[in-house]
Amino acid sequence: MGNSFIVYSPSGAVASVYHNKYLIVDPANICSDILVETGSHNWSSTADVQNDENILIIHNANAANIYYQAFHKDFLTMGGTLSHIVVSASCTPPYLRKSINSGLETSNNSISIYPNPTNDQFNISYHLDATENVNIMIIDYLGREQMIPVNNEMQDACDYNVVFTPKQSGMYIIKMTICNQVYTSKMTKL
Amino acid sequence: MYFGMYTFTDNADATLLVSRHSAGVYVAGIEDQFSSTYTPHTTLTS
Repeated sequence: MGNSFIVYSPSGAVASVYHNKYLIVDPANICSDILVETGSHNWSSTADVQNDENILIIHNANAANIYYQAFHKDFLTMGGTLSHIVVSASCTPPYLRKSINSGLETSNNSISIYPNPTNDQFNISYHLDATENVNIMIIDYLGREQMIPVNNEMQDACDYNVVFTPKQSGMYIIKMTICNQVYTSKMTKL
Repeated sequence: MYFGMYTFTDNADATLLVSRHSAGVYVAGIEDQFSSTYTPHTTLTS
């Protein structure tokens, strides 16, 4: 696996062991069943057949994103380099398919911003169950307008993905108005 | 796929990761040094 595999060797005032057990699958592929597998279970035969272990499989894009951010930080801290995540957004995310009934649900189940934080670009993914008036505005922490990717447009029922690439590091705020419901969220570029 | 593992001694898992990597899936991982003397480490680094 070349330089995409790192051995944790502690030095100085850092944790003595890398005690995590997790696998993240397709953290930015909304066309996939994004998941995290974690728990106490090491990848060992002892864990398989002797110990009393637990395994947790989380089918949730936000959880996967949180794990990915932690992995990303650890990997770079250990001196590794990672390829940029390839984002595909040409189909309905599974976690949206089963959560939408009508209109906008102002929860993380119907609007997904990822990766967040990022060192490159944000993907803003959302689903409309019916034709709606949509407005999306992105401002910086001083309230200055950065981008209006959707300006009071009537959009058909479909899945949408907006890409926002900040020019500089910092905190940004996205304000989405769909069918008179307002959704805001913070985004951080590292 | 991205993984982090403390005790990684089951080579079947390592073989599967390498298989996916060879098939074009991006795979990156971290293992604790505790596991660096076991067969999966050799599988992942060879």
